[in-house]
Amino acid sequence: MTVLGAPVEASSPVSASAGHRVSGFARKAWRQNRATCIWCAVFVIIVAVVVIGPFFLPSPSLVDPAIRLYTASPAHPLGTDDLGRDILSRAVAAGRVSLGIGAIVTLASVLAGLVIGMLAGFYSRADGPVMRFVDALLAFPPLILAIALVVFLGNGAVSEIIALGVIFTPYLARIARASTVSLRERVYVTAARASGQSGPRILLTHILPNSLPTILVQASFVYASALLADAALSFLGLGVAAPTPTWGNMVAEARPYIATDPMFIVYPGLAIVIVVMALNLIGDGIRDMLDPRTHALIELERLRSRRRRGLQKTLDRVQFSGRPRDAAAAPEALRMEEEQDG
Amino acid sequence: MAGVLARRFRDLIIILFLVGTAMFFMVHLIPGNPAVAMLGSYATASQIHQLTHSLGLDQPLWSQYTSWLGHLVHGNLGTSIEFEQPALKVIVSHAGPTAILAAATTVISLLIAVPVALLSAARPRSLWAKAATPASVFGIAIPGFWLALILIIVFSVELRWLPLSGWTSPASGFGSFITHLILPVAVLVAGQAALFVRTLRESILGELLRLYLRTARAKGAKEWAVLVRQVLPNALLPLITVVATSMGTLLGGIVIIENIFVIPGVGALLFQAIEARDYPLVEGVTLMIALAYVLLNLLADLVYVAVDPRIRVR
Repeated sequence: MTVLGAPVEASSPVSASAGHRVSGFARKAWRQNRATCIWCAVFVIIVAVVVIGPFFLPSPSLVDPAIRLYTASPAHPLGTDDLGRDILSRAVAAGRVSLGIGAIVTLASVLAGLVIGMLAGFYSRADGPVMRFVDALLAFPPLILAIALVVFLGNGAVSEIIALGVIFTPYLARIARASTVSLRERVYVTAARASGQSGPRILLTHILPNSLPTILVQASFVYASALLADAALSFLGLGVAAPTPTWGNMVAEARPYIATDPMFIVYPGLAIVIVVMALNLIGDGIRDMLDPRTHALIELERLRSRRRRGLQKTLDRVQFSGRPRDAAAAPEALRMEEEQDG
Repeated sequence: MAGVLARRFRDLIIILFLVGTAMFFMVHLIPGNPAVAMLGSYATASQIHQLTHSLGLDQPLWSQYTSWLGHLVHGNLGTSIEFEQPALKVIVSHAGPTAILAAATTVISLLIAVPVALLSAARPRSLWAKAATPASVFGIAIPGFWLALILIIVFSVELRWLPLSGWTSPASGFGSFITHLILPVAVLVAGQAALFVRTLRESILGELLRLYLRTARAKGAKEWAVLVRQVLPNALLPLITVVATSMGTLLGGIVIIENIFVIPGVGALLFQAIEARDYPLVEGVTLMIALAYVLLNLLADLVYVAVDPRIRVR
């Protein structure tokens, strides 16, 4: 449109069709994978509450001994803790810290893992030594390594981020390497080489964009694991120190009161469970969308169940059922069945 | 076969060497004198000097490293400051409960996961399969320490069915041993079984697309026979690796669980050592846990080679 130079009138159909495309994509995603969409929404809502919430809630560190360990009331919807602080605003403030630390850890380990993995996968001379080192890190039980690192680096947010980054980077590096090794042999990479493109350029323009979907799916799992690891470390008193709330150290603070005030411990743990579940299921959903095998299996099962019911002409039926997805996936399913044993 | 063994063993040595070296430099490159940290703020200068000397901290780093490495080769992990005993001896005396927890969790998780995964993979559109997936994600998403405290609230505080915490060795009372074991193992199984269901379901789904199943069906095999006799043995192979690799997460979980339930295992020992600033013991415990983990993975690889003849051909 801009090429034609048509100004105002032409731009509105463009934006309309772009909007249409977005809503079309959303509708397709909703139809194909309803659960993933719902969990995405849950996660977005939690992030929004955690980001915006503290502006509307009482201060999380407002101590009021007169109302300590109160149960739910209109002023304090989730009750108050052992120092009379509002549990809701503490849980929301803790979400900022926990989700923030998790996000930084995920970002850092995705970047480091991508660089290490792509270099090791692309330049075979670096492969051996680098991957030996990565294997050595993976040989450590993850949480134990994190505990050891935090003990030796000293408590605090920074050393916790370093420790968790060290745990998750090798894992992502392995995946980035595997996808680089398989992409390296593709024809378009050979073509790029033949046309004289430099190694780093091929990595950035051909290999990175193609391995990114896999890495991003893994990033959601890493985020989930990072939240769990952060919770465990701060529960043990090795993470962010006490006055700053995190979901993990809130559980630790509630621990002495399990006999007298059991609900106090439920909320921060529930927050962890919901966020980690959401991240895992979002990752699962996106992976299923990217992996044709899952589609193939569902279609195969559908075909089999129809066959079992004794319906003839199943393929015709599928083709004329008016759902193009079925028709496309059914032969695909059968083709993959052949290929698996090939 | 011998080649695979040799290669795995070489990797094992390299990994342990790297892990040990990393641990050594982590302890020794942190700023400040560990002797000061160990003795606390009330130590006199001569006490600090004496401990610095007896730990060998006044020697150059390189010679400290070589002598530490030499001791390590001879199986000497140094001396625990708190227990005033060789670190290895202290660790071995605490290994029993940890091993029992790990073994019980793995066995029970497998007993739960195999049937669940088989049923949900065989009927992917059934209600059962639709419930199994979120249930397994839920199991993975629950932080072990939180589930442990919730179970304590329900079964120990409210219902008073099970003891709050503690440990009895099987020799001194089997009934009490079992009741003390139920809650910790239940917490660990929740995470572990969920992980097994997920991976096993994935590998069963992969097997379901194979052509030999069509052959089996064509020969007139019943559907359940196809599943149990054709699909399951092949699908269980990846699980061998997963059982071993997930042992790392399990060991991390056990460390936390031992602290919550006050079980005198290696994990509780680790925290005791951390609180006492007993650095040789911290070093020793982490090294021994890493060693156990690496050995288990080596064992899993050997089992895999023994069970799957296709590996030997390659």
